[in-house]
Parts: sequence; structure tokens; C-alpha cells
Amino acid sequence: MRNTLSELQEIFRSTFGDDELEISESSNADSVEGWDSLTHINLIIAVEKHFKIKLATAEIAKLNEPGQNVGSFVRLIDSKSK
Amino acid sequence: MDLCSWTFILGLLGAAAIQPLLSTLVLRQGLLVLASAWFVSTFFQQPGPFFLFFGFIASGYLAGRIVAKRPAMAIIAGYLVLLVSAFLCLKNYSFLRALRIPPVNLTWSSLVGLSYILFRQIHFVVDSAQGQIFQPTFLQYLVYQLNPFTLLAGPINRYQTFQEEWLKCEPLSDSTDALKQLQRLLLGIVKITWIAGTIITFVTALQSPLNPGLPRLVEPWWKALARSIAVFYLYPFYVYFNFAGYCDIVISGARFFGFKLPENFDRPFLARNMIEYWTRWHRTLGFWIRDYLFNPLFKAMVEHKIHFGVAAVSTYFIALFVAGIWHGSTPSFAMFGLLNGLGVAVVKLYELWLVKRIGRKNIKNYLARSRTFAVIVNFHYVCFTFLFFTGSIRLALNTLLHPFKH
Repeated sequence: MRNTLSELQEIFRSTFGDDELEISESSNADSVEGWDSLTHINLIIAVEKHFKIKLATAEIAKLNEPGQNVGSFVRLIDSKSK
Repeated sequence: MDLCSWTFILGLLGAAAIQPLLSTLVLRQGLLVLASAWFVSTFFQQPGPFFLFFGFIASGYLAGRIVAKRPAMAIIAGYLVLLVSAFLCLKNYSFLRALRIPPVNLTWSSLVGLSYILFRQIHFVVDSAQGQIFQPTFLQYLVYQLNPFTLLAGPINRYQTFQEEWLKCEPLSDSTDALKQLQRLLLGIVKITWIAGTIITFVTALQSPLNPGLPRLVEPWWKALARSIAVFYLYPFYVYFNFAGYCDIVISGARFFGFKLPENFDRPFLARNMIEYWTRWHRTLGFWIRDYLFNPLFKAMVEHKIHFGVAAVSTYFIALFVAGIWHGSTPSFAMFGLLNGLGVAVVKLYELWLVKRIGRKNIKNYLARSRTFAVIVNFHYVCFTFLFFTGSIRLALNTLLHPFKH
């Protein structure tokens, strides 16, 4: 079974240029240094390429809502990869 | 119709009192349909402009249904180009005169809320094409576009949330919550009529002698300086209280009918820069611009291997320039857009430079040290942009330069 979180961790490290970056399901834009609008889109591009999925505008928008975190990202990726 | 009028307020409270007495969903939805139809009818005296307005809105539903079945990029792009062109013509954007396109002479009331309708419509069509809107109906779509709580000036809510709430139309059952909403409604009226009303009376009295076309006002330098300073600082507060009051009325009003509209303000004058400002001021517009313009544009640029810095700065500029010119059709609003676009682009350039200089990890701490200074500078820049929100570049320049003409 695919471990989306650990694959996502590598994508985060490469996007943020930080090999020591540790993320968990509860990580969010406030807890990850430098997670702004631009890095968010870079993450989306990397995720789409890696998991071979296409995220809709509304899905990307929802990830910006309060209460959303890496866990929401993982669930979204899993639902699209099925 | 004026939202602070007795007709509207009594109509709203009357309907809110009836709503909990209606036992079935169909009846509660019916009440909102009737309220929306009555509200829209107050803006139209003749059938011609109404049919034009209705056609504009209905085309969104039709296009949404078509692209939901056949999401071809050519159809989506073609419809959006047609829609935006129709919008520009109906709103009579001044640059169209240079292209020798004849003006469409419609009154303000015939174009009620058109700017907001346009953005909701684009969202509906794009999300339909991407399979993000499920089982919409024409009636549901019409109420989404035309209900009294979002028609005039937003908040720009999303169809999915509206649909979820429409399928319940849950009346307020908690009396404490109902009292809170009533209090907010009254606060909204106070903000518009007393606070914004008083401020604009002062601003108009101070600024009207500076109107272009009038003989040059001659007065002592200190009086001229005081006049310009007062207009410079007061006008943004007028816009804020007027719009925040409007939002208080519609957000609290909508709660009585089971709709939780998104908030539009979060202490905007305390933003540390123009990027943060647009997440605090007219937030639903800022978020719409982020989701439907900024994100796709930046994504497309990065995917086409455009240099990261160039893509970032130009996307910020374009997104906020569009947000600015969306507010009005005169060159003054183009200037307003230009200043907002430049503001966010410069902030992004500065941030990119800082990342290079001190590293991404240290930015938060570095910026926290200079927050107060940044807030003061940003507030002044915001006040400067609002000079151009009055609709006339010459009036803005007269206001700014008046103290130096002595």
C-alpha cells in the first residue's frame, strides 16, 4: 500500500529546498516556514507530476481554507489516486 | 434598493420572523425565492434591461451545464471571452471608446451587482467543467446569483457552500444567536448611516472645492495642508465603514435564512504589506482572485518554465491590477488597479530579495522585528491608492498637490 505522507514529505523537502524538513498530518502553512501562495502552487505542480493526478481549482482553493493541513492534502491525493 | 431603508429592513425582519414557522424545506426555499424576486424587481422599471440582465446570468447556467458534459477548453475559453466582453460593454469601460465601440446606455440599477455576478458566474462555469459542482438546478442557480444577501456587493460566496445550505435552509433556532445577528444588523446600519455617512459629509465638503473644472481654491498653506490630509486619511475609513456595514447587514440577514456567508474584513488597516492587506480587505474578492486568476496563471507560467521570480512578480501584478480595475470603468480605477498591482509586486520582489539575503527560514523573525513600522508605511500606501477610488484622476491629483500650489 502506498504511503502518501512519506512521498509527500520528499516533495515538500525538494520544493522548500530543505532536506531536514519534517512534516506530519497536522502540519500547515503556519507551521511550515515559507509556505506561501507561491510555494503552495509549486507543491501542487510537484504533487500533480509525482502522483499523476490533476487537481481542480476548487480543490486547490479548499486546501487554503482554515483548518486544512497536510492531512487534508494526503486525503485529497488518495481520493484522486484511486 | 437601499439596504438601510425601512422597506428593506422591515421586509428582512418580517421574512426572518416567518421563516421558522415554515415547516417544510420547500416552503422555506419558496420564501427565499419570493424575497429574491421582489428584491430584484425593485431595480428594474422596464422589461428590456431586465431581459438583458437575466440573459447575462442565465448564460452562465447554460454554459455550466454544457461544459459539465463536454469540458473542452475551447468551449470554456470561448464562453469566458464572450462573457467578459459583454461585461466590459455593459459596464461601459472607458477604454472601449478608444476602440470606437458604441456605449451601452444602461442605468446603474439595470447593472445591479453585475461585477459580483460575473465572478460568481466564472466560478460556476470553471467548477462545472472540472466536475466540482453536482446536480445544480436553474432555480438554485438563480437564487445563488440573485438573493438579496449577495446580489449587490457580495460577499463572493462559492456555489458548493450555497448549495449545501440551500438544501437545508435551516432557520436560526438559538435565540442567543438570533439576538447576536440582530445586534450585528443594527451595528451595520450604524456603520453605514452614522459613521460612514458623517465621514463622507466631511470628505465631500473638503474635497468638492478641489473638483476639476472649478476655479483654483486659494487659501493659506496650512489650511490647504489640513484639507488634503483630512481627505487623505478620512476617505479610506469612509469606504471601510460603508462596506463593512453593508457586510454586517447581509451576513447577519442571511443567517436568519440558514446561510453562513464568508467574512470580508479582518482588520485590514493593520496589514504589514499589500499582499497581506489583500487577505484582510475585501477577502472574498482577494480569495477569488487568488483561486481563479493568480493560481492558474502562476501555475501555467511555472509549467512553461518561465523564471520563478519573473512569474511571481508579474502574476502578483496582473492579479491585483485586475482586482483594481474590476471596481470601476473609469481611468481612475485603472490607476487604482495599477497602484495595487505595483504594491504587491514590489512586496514580492522585496521578499524574494530577502530570501536570497537571509534565507527562507529567518524571514519570519526578521519581519516580526519591523512590524509596526511596516504597518504604518502600508497604511499610508493604502490611503494613497484610495485617492483614486473616487472616480477621477484629476480630483485625486488636485487633492494630493493642493498644499504645494501655494
